[in-house]
Amino acid sequence: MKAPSIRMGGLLAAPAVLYMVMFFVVPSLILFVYSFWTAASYRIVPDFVFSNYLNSLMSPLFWTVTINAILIGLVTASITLVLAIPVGYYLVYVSRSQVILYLILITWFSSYLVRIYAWRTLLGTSGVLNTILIQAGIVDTPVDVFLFSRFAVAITLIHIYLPFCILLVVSSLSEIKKDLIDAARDLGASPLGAFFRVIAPNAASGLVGAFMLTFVMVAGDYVTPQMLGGSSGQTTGLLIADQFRKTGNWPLGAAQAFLMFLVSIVIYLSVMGLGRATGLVVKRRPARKAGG
Amino acid sequence: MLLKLVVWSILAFLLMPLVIIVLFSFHASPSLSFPFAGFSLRWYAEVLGNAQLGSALVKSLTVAGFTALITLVLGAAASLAWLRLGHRGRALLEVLCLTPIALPGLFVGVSLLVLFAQARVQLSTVTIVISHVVLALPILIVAMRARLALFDPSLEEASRDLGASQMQTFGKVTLPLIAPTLIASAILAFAVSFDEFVVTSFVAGTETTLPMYIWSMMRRTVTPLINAISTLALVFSIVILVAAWLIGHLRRRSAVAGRTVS
Amino acid sequence: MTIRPPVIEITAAQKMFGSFQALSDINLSIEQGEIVTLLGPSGCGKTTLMRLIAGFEAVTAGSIKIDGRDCAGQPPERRPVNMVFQRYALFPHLDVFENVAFGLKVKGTPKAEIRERVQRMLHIVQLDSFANRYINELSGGQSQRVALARALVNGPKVLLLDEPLAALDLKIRQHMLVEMKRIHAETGATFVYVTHDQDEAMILSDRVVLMEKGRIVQIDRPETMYAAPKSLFAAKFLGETNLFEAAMAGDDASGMTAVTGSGLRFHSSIVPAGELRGKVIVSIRPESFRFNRDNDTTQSAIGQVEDVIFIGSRSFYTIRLADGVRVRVQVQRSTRTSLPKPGENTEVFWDSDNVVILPQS
Repeated sequence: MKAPSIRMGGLLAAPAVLYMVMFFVVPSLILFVYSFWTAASYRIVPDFVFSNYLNSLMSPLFWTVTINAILIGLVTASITLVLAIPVGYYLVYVSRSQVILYLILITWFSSYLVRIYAWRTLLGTSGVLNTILIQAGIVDTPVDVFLFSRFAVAITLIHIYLPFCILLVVSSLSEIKKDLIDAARDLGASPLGAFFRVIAPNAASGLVGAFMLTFVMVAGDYVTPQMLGGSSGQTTGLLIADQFRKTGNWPLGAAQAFLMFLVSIVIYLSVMGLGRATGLVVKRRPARKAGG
Repeated sequence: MLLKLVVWSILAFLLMPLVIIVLFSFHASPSLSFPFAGFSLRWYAEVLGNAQLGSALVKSLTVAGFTALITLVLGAAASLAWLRLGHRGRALLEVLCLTPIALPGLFVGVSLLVLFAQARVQLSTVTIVISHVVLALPILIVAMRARLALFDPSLEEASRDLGASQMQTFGKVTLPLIAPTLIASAILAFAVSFDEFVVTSFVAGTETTLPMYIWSMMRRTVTPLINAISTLALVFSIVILVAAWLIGHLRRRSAVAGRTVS
Repeated sequence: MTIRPPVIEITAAQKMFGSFQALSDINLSIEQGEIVTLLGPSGCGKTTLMRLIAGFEAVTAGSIKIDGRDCAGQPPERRPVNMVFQRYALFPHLDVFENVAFGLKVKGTPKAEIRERVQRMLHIVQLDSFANRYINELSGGQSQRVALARALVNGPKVLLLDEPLAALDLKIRQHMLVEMKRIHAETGATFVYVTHDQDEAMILSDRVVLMEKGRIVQIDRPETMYAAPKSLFAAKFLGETNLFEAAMAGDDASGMTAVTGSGLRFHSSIVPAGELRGKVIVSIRPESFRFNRDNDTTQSAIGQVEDVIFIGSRSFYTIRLADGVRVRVQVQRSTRTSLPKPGENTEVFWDSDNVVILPQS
């Protein structure tokens, strides 16, 4: 019974697996191979050189934009997580409000470009925020640093990725029963104490996961910085995208994409290390069902 | 309660830009600032009269429709497979699905671009659909996986025990039970494709989808015309969500759970 | 013994969830050192009442005093009570020692004292050698002990236990009941124990608080509640019983008499909870029936043995009385008296101090 069932399963899974291998795994591998090739006057030549990696690592521009992307990523992902936690906590432990959940889903599913555009109109020199500030007499002339600044980029990215992050936080908190909060309170912990002593350590891997996914999304998002960041909007993502669209140096772009990937992994490891060092992340053993 | 206040402030932050967008789509004047100069439907009229926009919309609907269809077929088979696979099969499926979700669109976009270039495939509507399925299929499978964890395999065994063949069991027991979730997920796949911009910008060639059209407008100017388009897109997303929600309610009545979901 | 105020005093407490009345008119006082059981079917409000005491919910009206002090508005962390949760709610990221030490640590107790108190507590629950185990390495019974230790180590005025044995196997459950009594004796703490299991309530408690639909229907010692239930609900909820529809037929110094439609007379010497008139229900426990006549036995009925179930030390008889009513009779196995066999006619006897007459609703 078991063996034919598994074979049947394999047969049914085959189309999807094949599809993902063909259009995700193979392209990624090709991209990786590309990163060792060379480009000469818009022609791409098969080769095996490390110059794409080395040139990137030695280029001040690459470091400037990468540090910019990392900074934007870290700051935005941190703020996003900090905002997502109370909402997630509320949804999981206080009220499973369908209204709130659907409001979050609506923002999540509202168009990506539309939201970028919304912040552009909100923050522009003749935008909503400036008009309100002038009319309220807080400023005399429009504040133009709202738009085309890191601030504008950060607030927009937070807005775009917060719903996603909230859903991740909800799913990681859902695994931790409310009983644990009650028990901590019963034993003398304040509400915040219960969160930091019990919920945070148990949800740590999930919360770090949420942070990292948000970080990867944010750091890789080059459209938002391009539209709202002005001169500070150069990020690695944009650099890579331009190699593919304008410059035509695909091997260099491929190498930079993998470097960006590597940077994400390094950051993940540092965040985990930091968590361990501060004692917030502990190795959680999965709770066995009670009564066993 | 303080927490409640914080939560609603955060929600206000999330919703406020959308409200502003919608509000100014009805603005009588082309300026996007206060004071509000009165309501008008002129931007909507302009949207309707814009032929380029219309063709971009048709393109997007076509792409999203095909994406949802292909994703549904592949995803349905994979979901049925999920119920039958051992640990290793499930792990493989999981890695294949979770990795693309955890990667920025940029990475997926450029790798598909190099694939198409290497295979000498002309960039077209087809390449857009292929790429969108790469994004939508994992989301559908991950969504299904959460549901299927609650699926009671003894339902299939009971059906076989009662004399139904494997095909009959598929058709009469398994598929009806997972169908509402599948369809809801396919609707989400449609939504993902309809809104996709980053990957599309690499693999679209000369084709123009709605997000790409909006992008080209956004780069040039700020006009309430974009607000009107955005509002329509927003309404469309809400309709899609409501549809998925309604189907979700059907699901609750059908016994996908078999056991109660707590 | 000196007179102390009750450790818990609940006066006219009410709890509403939206428009749902979860608890109404709760009056209860609990003395130092008692084991009090809140007993009732699921949804009767017993867990809500416990959560009110613990501070997880606030009363809608009325007051709760703990140790003589009104605790309105006091969050759970400020109340001198501790709780054992139904599913234990042990912290999976901490080991046994750290779990038990949690409460003391939060309160800023000096390290040396924590170590000493935790170790003493682990000794009491017999888990001395488990201090460094993680929670997922424990059996159900061991988790239960950790949960007890974690609560008791704080020296609570009252220990609240929310169906603590519900998740355990029958065998371990019985063992833990004995353990719980021992731990109670050793610590001298006051226990408030929520359960829907009448056996647990009977075995453990000094007093049973029987609840139904958000109200307390009876507070008594377990023996009293079993022998003299004050309502039909109490009679049915605690143990098995035979019920007869009857009408009041007399009330004199020796007790009351009720008669069924077919003329069967029941005389009761138990003083009823309230005034009885008109239609009533007569309740007699299966073990109160006998097949032999005692000296003072004044009441009996003729019937036929329909069925016998033998379960070792006891036998259950189904007797069909002359009027067609069936009664269950439980007798101890005995080698001296001869018992009737299936199909035989027989006479069943009972005493007036085993007859409980109850109002119909």
